[in-house]
Amino acid sequence: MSDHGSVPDIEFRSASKHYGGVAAVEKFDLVVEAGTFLSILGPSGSGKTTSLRLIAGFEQPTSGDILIRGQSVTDVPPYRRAVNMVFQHYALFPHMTVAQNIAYGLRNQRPRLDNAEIARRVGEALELVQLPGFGDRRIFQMSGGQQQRVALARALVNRPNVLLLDEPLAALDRKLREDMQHELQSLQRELGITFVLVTHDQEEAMSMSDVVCLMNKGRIVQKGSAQELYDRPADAFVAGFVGKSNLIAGTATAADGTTASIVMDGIGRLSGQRTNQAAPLAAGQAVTLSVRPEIVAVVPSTQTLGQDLDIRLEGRIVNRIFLGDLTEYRIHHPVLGNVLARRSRQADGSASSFEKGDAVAFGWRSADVLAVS
Amino acid sequence: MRIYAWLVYFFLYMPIAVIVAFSFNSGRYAADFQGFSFAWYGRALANPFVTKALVNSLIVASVTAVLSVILGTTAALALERLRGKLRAVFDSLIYVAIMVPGVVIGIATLVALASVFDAVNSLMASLWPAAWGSAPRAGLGYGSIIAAHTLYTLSLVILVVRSRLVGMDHSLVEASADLYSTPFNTFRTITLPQLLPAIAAGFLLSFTFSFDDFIIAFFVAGPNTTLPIFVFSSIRRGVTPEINAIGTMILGVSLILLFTVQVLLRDKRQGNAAEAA
Repeated sequence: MSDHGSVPDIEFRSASKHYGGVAAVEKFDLVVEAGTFLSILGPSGSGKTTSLRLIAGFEQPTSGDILIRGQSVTDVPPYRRAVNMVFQHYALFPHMTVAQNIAYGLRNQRPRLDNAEIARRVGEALELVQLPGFGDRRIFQMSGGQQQRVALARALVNRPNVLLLDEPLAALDRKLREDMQHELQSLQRELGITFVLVTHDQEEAMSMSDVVCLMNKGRIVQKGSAQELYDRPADAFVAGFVGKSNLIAGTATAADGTTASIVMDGIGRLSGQRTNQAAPLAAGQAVTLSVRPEIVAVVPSTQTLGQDLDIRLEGRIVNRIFLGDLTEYRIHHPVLGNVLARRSRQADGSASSFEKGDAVAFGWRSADVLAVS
Repeated sequence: MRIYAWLVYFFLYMPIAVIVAFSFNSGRYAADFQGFSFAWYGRALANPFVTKALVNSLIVASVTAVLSVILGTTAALALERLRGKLRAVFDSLIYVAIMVPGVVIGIATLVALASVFDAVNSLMASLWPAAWGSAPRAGLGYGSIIAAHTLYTLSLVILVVRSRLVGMDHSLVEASADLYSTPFNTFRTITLPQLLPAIAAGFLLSFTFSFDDFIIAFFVAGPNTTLPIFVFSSIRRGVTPEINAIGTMILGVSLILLFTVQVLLRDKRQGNAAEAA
């Protein structure tokens, strides 16, 4: 393990997992470099949890191979793998105290650690998750957020090469979840070990991780930084799943290396910038335009839209959601259906708020629209 | 509706209440309450036939409970891994074992044991060297009562342990494996402690059943007398307050044990609620 830099912590080599002929994970190829915070993001049933369970060893791949630090672990049982997991519902042992839970992994290590060493490391782990002095508590005396920290300590105390986290924040309320997101991120930086986090929450994945791996139907759809996924989605699924977006599907009437356009009845030509220039796209093929809500400008129908907008439409407000610094509007358009627009609060209050039923003019710049295949 | 309910309870519990009340009667006639006294309890416990029957009952009930718990828990664990048709077959067999009337278990066990003993005894007699004296003979006794009781209480233990096993979070076992624990160590340190309340409840249920049972024991007891059999045979000589005192003691022990079972199984529910919270 001297050559940290060169050997990736985890490597999937065309790993597949089938349940009775149904593929949960299909031809999975993924390399996780040491010290990375990787999120596996996807809707439920996309195979993200199965991929995590393959690393932990609770599932065996039907075909392909999985390597931990360059060693194939396909035939290694879970209790001999140097990875530790934080379970979705924590899976703390209810008949043990907090300290006994944390010490459990240390007590199973061979050669045996002496009691003083175990006590010292349990104490350190409790410090690390900011629960000093809680060792003698029973699990049911701890709140949800505290149980989460105990689960984290129980995994980290073993100093694993890789920490696996299965939707660890799903059961926490919003405020606690945001605090834990920051804590997990700083813990990972502090410890420098690889974190693999599974989540269906795109905000969670994007806010914490260095690399996001987006899965759908058992396959990896796109892998990259959060910004890459947002700004250059590989296809319509990514554009729709990562961040909110208005997706307009159609048939390309014209396409070249950088732009693609479609023609809609009653509107005319709509176009966008291509994000995945490697994928060939020609006129006559299906294409989807992704219009992010933040690029949609809205003014009362009595006013005129800014001159820089080349797409100009009219509609009626059907719904409004106040988000504090932002307000989200749902605008009905006879051809496009409902269009989502997001306006930030203006310091001078000039972008007056609209009410349900207001007639508005809205539009965007084609240069800001993404075209995905 | 309310009067009807009271009547039902009256008919159910009045006879028991009468027995309990008259066990404290100082007079010697069951129907005539003369004054409060513990005298009949003293008489009952001083009677060597009663104490012998009580010791027999305690031995049979203890061994039955221990055997049922060991066999029942291992069976429940094995059944948990079974899937499909085979599991359905075993599940229904367990329920059938509980629903079969005691009389049937009694007769069936008696007939089965008698034919096994016949075969074994004649085989032993023919093989036994004449120089060693007469061959030992297998016969009805403690063993046969324990075997017949275990046949029944085994199913009780399986059901109680299984329901706990189903309620157990499987991720606990995975978490243990994730923390370097071998499968055997996981069983010892995680699964077994989780099952303990159910195992204890199964033990007490088996003990209570075996201690109280008359029907099955009556068929297979042979020369041995358990407490319920003693009570039955004494009644033929008329109901005395001594019998009332014995009955009340059996009732008291059974109620205490069943109450303990309730507490053990309730603790389990609270434990689960705490896990979920």
